[in-house]
Amino acid sequence: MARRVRRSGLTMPINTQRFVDRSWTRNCDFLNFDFEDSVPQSQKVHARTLVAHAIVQGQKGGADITIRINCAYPDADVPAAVLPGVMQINFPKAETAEQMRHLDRLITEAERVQGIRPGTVRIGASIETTLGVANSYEIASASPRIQEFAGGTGYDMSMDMGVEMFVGFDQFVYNRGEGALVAMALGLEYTGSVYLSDTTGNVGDSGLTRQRAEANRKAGLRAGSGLHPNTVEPQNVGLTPTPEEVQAAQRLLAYFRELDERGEVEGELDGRVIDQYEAARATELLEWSVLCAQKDAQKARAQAQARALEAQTQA
Amino acid sequence: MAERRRRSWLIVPAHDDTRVAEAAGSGADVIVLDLQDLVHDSQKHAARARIRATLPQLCAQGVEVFVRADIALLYADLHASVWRGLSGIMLPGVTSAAEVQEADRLLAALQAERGVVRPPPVGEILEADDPVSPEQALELHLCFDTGRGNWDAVEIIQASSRVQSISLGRADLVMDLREEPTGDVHLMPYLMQRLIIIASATGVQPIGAWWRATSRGLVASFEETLAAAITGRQAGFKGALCLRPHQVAALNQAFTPVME
Repeated sequence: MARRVRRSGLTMPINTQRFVDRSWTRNCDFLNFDFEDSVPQSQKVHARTLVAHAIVQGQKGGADITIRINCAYPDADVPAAVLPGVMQINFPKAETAEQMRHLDRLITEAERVQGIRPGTVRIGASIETTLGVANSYEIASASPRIQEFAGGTGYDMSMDMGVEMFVGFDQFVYNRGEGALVAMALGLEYTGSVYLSDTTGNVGDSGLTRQRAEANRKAGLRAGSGLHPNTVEPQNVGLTPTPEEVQAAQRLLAYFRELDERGEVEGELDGRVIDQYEAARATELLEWSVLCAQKDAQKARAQAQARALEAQTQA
Repeated sequence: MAERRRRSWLIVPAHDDTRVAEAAGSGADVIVLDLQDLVHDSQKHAARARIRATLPQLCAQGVEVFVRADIALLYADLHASVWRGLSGIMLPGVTSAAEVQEADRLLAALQAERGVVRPPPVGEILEADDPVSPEQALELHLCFDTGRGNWDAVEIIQASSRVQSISLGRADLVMDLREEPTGDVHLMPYLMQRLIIIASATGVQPIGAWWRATSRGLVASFEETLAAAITGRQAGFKGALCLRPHQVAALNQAFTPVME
């Protein structure tokens, strides 16, 4: 499967129509329509009827569409959630490999019913409990539909651990490490993030979001997400390489090629040691930069079309 | 078995006479002659050809000598390295127990065939009598520098009794782990503690230093090396790897036990 560009994304209740109908204007890389925590129990059944509409709205913005289901009702949620146009089913509070195997079977059946190419709908397994952390490896390796993985952090994780969420140090060192190592051991895309002190808990703080995105980009991490529209642009920009970085990477690679042709393994450029690892890093940055540009162009095209259509309808 | 002092492990390209000579005078407890990352493909043959003569020269100066082999070129590298004076092989990029078993078998065969034994801690080089006894078997130092290797580290270590020490090698580079806003390298605190616990649980020595605040691409100064090594010792490491002669004294100082 191709590498996904998922710098920014909003999770929103699928039953809040004004969010869903404006979702395409947010310029997200992905949209995560929720059946789970943001949907009250009384609306769960209704929520399952709204996927087709949400896909249409979301795709107007060029975003990848994902659906977050309830870990308690996969049998009811999956047939409603797996429709053509849905890239991934997100499974919150994943705790066992058996849950993943069961989910895989449900998706396989739904793909067959819907005429979707077998094996193409992905699973996003979120680790949000201590049992999930303990079973990280088994969960992540339970289905080939799982292409991305990260350790357990966030609200639910802190609740399950019985610790505060917004403290001035990283209370999730082990969870992060375990998730990252599992992703790397299995060759999955690692979607974790660096730790940044945040004692405010403000989910709509664009300054802090930008800071975190920049720190992640510099650490080579590429994935974002969010709950508030203010987080989208800071992540789109913050996780995209700057023109200066692209130039520096090109220069570094040109220098490394010269070194290599001379039969040398390392040299110095601007006071820094350049070797195959720096070259690999520069290559990755250039590839990532191209993927970001492709995603931006795809979103811009989709949104321009949607705007033109909207103007036509209003005229 | 007498205690071996291995506070500092200095890695130098095997074909570079100047750097090998510098290493010999650096005070390093262990010199690691490199056949892997520091040797360009076009120089591999020359580097391998140097090992046999270099080993006794370094040994005579009281240093222990390891060779860092390329796991993809294991047979060529080990054939070139198993000669009188060698203490062991450093193996980066290990991802499975089978690879370690293969290296173990190859070392055993070469030791038997050539009558090579590991030099004793102090004094003369022994003549071979029992190349596979614990005292005379060549060692393996495994560098866990991949996700797969780290995840399966226990099983991999237990694949051969020759494994006496482990490190993360250049995991920060191989796994492309970069600097966090806190100054730590992303995931390294977790990986270092995990390695130290696994080393202790399996009875091998954990080698490493707590490198922080990088400076990736910059050569660590004496002071930076000292700070990393002291924190490393406090965390449980027993010695560390380095790439520059001026870092050796810092490692020796940090890892020397203080007499009460």
